[in-house]
Amino acid sequence: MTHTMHRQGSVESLKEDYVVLVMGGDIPFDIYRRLWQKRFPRIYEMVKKVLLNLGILKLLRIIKKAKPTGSCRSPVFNNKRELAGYLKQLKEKNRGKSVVVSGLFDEVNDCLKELNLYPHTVQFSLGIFGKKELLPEKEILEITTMCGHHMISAPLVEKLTSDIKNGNVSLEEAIRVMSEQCVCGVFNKERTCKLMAALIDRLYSLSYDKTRATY
Amino acid sequence: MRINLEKCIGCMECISYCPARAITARGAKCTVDENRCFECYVCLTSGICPVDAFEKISLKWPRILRHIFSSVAMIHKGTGIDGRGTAEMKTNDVTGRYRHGEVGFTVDVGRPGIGTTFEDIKKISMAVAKVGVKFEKMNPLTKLMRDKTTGRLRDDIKGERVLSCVLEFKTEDNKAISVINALKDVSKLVNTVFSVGCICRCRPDGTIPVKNMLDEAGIFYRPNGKTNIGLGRPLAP
Repeated sequence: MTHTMHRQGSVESLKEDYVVLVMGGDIPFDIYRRLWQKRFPRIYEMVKKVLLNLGILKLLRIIKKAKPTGSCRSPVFNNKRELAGYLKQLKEKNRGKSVVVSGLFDEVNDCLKELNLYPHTVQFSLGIFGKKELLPEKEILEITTMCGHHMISAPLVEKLTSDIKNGNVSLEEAIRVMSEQCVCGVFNKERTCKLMAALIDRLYSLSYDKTRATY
Repeated sequence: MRINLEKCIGCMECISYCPARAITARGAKCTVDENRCFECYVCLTSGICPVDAFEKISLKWPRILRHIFSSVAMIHKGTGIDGRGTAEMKTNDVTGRYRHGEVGFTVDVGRPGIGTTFEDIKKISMAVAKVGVKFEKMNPLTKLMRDKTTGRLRDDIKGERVLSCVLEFKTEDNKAISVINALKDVSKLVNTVFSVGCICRCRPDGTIPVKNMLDEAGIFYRPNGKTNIGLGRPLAP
C-alpha cells in the first residue's frame, strides 16, 4: 500500500496536493488471533471448535468478505491550511488510529509544529529505478501517479487531451472520467485540472478560459 | 479478460483505458492479448463498453495472481487488506513494525504504470536478499517465496504479468546504503521500472536518522513522501 507515495511533480505543484490516510492497526483481530494461537494453542483450538459449531466463524468470514471496496477512501487537500485544520480535528478526537500524511515534508512538518506534534515514522521516495525509457512523458506521469494503483492509464490521459482539443469533451468531463477510475479517491481533481490545462497548452497552444470553463 | 466478438461493435473506446495496453483493434473489432492482460478489470469496471462485450475468463493458478496483484478491489487472504502490500509504515505507531536502528524498504515493482513479471521481481528480491534483509512476513509477495533467505520465488509463477507488486523488507540501518546500491545494480537487469521507498522511525525530537545517511551517500530522495504523525495507540511497547 504505497499508492500515495510516489506522486510526481514540481514543488510548486505539490504544494497543492496532500492526502491523509487514517488507519487502524494491521487488522488487530487477526493479530490477537495469532497471539492466542501461539501462546495458548489448546484454548485457541477449543474456542475455535465452539465458534465453528455455532457458525460464528463462518459469519465473521462473510462479513470480512463483504467489506465494501474502496474502503481506503482518503481525503485530499489542496493547501496546507485545510490540512492543518483536519489534522487538528484528528488530534482532538484522539481515536488512537494511525494518521499518515502524503505530501511535501517541509509543508507537513510546518503543520505538525503548529499542532505540537512530531513525525513518528517517515517514508522517503528514492525515485524511479530501471528502464525509465518505458515511462510516458513527465506531464502525463504527474497526472497518472495521482492514482497510485495506476488505474488511470497514460493512453487514457493522451486520448482525453486530444478529445478536449477536438471539442469532444470538456476539461471537467475529462477529469471526471479519470477520477472515476481511481477507486481509492486519492486522485486530486483540482491539481489535475491545472496540470491538464498546462499540458493542453503545451501540446496544442490552447488556453483555458476559467471564467467560461471552456477552451 | 476477453472480448465477445459477436457483441463488440468496434467503437474502439476501450483501447485507451487498458493499463496493460493489451486491447488492440483487429479489423473492425477489438481483442485482448491475454498474454499482456493484467486481469485488473479496469476495462470492465470503467463501464466504457456500450454493449458489455467484456467477459471474465476463468482464472486458475497461477493466472489468478494477475488479478490478485493488479485489481485494487481484491483483498489479499494473507494480509486481510486491499492493495498490493501491507500497511507498512502507515500503522508503525500501532504495530512497531520498524524500530529504532532499522530501515525499511518498499520496492513497487512495475510502478508507475508499466507492469512487471515475477521473473523481474525475483531478480530484485534475490539481489537485496544477498545484502541481508528480512522480508515482511505479512506481505503477499513474501508468501510466494520459496526461500525467504535468498528471496527466490516459486518457479511456476515466473511468466505471470501484474500491474505492480510491493516487495517489503527491512534491515539494520548500517546496511541501508548497501541495499540501495544493490537496487541500483539490479535496475540494469530488469525489463521494467520500480519505485523505491525508504522507511525510518524518527527520534523523539522528530529528527530522521536515515536522512543524514542518504545525504552523506549522495542518494536522491524526493521532497514529498509519507509522514506517520504518531497519533496511533501502540499495540506493543
